[in-house]
Amino acid sequence: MKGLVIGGGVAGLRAALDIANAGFDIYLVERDYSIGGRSAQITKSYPDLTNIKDVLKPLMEEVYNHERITLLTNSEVLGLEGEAGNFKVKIEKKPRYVPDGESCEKCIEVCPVEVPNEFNEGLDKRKAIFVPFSYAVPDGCVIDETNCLHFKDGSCSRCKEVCDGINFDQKAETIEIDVGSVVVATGFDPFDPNLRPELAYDKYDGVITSLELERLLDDDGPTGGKVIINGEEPKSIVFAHCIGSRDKKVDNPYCSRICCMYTAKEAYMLREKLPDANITACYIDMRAFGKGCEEFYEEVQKKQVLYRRGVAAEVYSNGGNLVLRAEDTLLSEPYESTADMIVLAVGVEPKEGSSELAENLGIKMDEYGFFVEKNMYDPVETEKEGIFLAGCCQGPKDITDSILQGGAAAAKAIGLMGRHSN
Amino acid sequence: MMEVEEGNFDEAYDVYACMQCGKCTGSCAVSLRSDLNIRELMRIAILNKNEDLEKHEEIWDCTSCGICTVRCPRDLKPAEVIIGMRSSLVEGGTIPVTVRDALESVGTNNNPWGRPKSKRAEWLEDLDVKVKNISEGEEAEYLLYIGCTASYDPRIQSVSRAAINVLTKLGVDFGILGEEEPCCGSEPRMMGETGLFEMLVEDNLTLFDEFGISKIITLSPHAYNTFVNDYPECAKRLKEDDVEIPDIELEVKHYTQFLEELIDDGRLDGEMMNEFSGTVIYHDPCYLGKRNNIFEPPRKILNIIPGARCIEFDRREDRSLCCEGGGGRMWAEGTGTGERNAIIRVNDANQDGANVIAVACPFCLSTLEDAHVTAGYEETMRVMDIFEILDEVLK
Repeated sequence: MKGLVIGGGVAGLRAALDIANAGFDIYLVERDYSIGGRSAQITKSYPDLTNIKDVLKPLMEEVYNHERITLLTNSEVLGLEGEAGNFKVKIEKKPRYVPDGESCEKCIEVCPVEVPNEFNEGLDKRKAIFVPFSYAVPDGCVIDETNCLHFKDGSCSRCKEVCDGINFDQKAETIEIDVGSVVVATGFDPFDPNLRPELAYDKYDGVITSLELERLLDDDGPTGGKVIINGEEPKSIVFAHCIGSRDKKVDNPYCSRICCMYTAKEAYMLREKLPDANITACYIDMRAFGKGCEEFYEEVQKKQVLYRRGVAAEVYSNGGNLVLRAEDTLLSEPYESTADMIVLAVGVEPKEGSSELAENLGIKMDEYGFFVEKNMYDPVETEKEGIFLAGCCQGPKDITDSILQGGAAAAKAIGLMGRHSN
Repeated sequence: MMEVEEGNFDEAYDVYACMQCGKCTGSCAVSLRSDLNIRELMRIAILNKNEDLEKHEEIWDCTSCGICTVRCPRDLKPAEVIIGMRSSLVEGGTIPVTVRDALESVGTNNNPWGRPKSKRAEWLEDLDVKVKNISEGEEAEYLLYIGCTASYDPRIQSVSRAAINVLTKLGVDFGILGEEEPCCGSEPRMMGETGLFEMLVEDNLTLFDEFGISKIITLSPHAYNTFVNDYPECAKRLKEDDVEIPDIELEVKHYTQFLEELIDDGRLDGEMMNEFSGTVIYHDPCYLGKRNNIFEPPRKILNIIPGARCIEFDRREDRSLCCEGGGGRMWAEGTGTGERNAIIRVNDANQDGANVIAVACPFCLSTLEDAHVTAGYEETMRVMDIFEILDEVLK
């Protein structure tokens, strides 16, 4: 009997490996061009400051090379029928147009199209034929057909002229597979800060999201690890907590759980790079739960990161300088603070397309769009037998907890498939 | 715990649900120059008693711009809490003299300006155009609701006259209520005179019903807001208390919305206008923008005026800076020190290179007009209502 894991982020990778290592064949379906998920965009973990790449890259390669794992990237689950132990799942496999591992990159040089690079949160550009990121798996180039001129109007085939491997004639195909269990691990999207227009995210280059800062902090990132805003190193930085979290006005009344700590980590890394900068964090309540987190928070404070209670209220410009308005609620003092860089700690939202997937799989979503677990004693099971949940698709959680839940979902899937195999 | 007529502050405003994040005070239009701290007041409402409000004179500094309510992440209504606190003070009689006079004048003269009802239509006297008076039995599709400030304030009266000229030129079938026009009640409500507001809602809906008025165009965003948002809610509450209120559905538009429709219908365009000369910067009124998300219509009108070079404030739309004209502030100078927002605003406009500040609200016109004189821009800059600009350019 085979299993299916949907989503190739840390939770899905852990689940796929655990199930495969228990002796079951596994399909791992990933919608993106590469596995790795959101974690691949992150530089270091908290509170231990592990380089994510050092952990994630081997995990991704292990999955890719595992003889029991069939990896289907650029693919999507279209439908599911049957019952636990005997599901029929329809999957659309979209073409990459370039054979796996083909990456002499001459094609990239000649491609005339430039679009914002999603992996770097739009901080730089990529071509329509591109390598998703430095340690993408599968490696090699892919063509993004929505931006490629060949697919738009047939006006260009420059990449093909320099690379015989490219095949524009590849077509999407729909396959049907038989599986005994499904682990759903589709992850999350960051909150769109434009829904809080007073923070002026779309108005000023100096206002960025926490995920953009991750890309700036990454040695592999668009600036080679230099934190540069408007061509200069920022001298004053304000972190704004709870953007799109604990906020009924944007229908996200929940706490996203990870933002307090990833902000602390980003502040720590910034301090290392910018020893003389003024660093402030505007917060409502600090939530530094979890092993080692409170101690890490204290360490960050001691590095002269000023934690100022009171949420960021509004951003504007005064004579060309960015100004953040807020109240220091401990002093009962409203203030205006100039900043070169304002980092919005955006919260966790259900992955785009979650409701379609819920419908295709026949599982429930909560009012925010996260998938619903069966009950507190079966926290990785859904009400539909044989379908399990792991990671942020079930609710906001950090990398460690996502991996933990991936393992738990795998154990449940192994148990179920074991029972059905006997 | 403090109390209002509807019950205690938790029953009326959910004050226990406040998480003290400070979004309200951080966003507040006056908190940088006044002791007004709405976040603290949310807490004081739980921990203190009504009589303690007397030492919080700064409660009268609130401009009722509503941004605290618009942005509250817990979806509470801090702006209403202020009204509740003011109503407690009104009831106790410990209110600024000027506010008391304004409220008394609404009761006796149907306007807060202390002017007799018989003078309400005096602004009409300099007009060459004949205007229908609905209160005298003339029929019209729309009531042009002028409002108290545009009826009595000499500077703002010019907007009323401009409105008549423009709507007449555009062939709109409209009328006014002349001396019979009542106060809409928006300012009394914001000043905490809840009982008076309820009386006005009852009287005014009866009056509109009597004269067969169902479509209203307002000059003021404050009147617009109260007709659209406060009246239905208040009427519902009154009906539940068995007060007889006519069942009428009002279709209310701020004049910029109405003119936008004329543009869309091809009844208003740039070819109907002479060249305007100037760099125009539009100031969003809180009651149109922040409170009601109406950002586009005024801009659309300004953009079709030939010759007008339209520019924008950095702080605009959702982030516009309140002029401090609302919430009873016309009758309460406020405790605040430091630069008035209106001064900041005209200085910004000057720095941005504007020589016309376009407004769409009588209070904004009043505060900015005053500020542009104080700041020394009398010779270089004009503050104009959009109706005044149109009156100047329409052929």
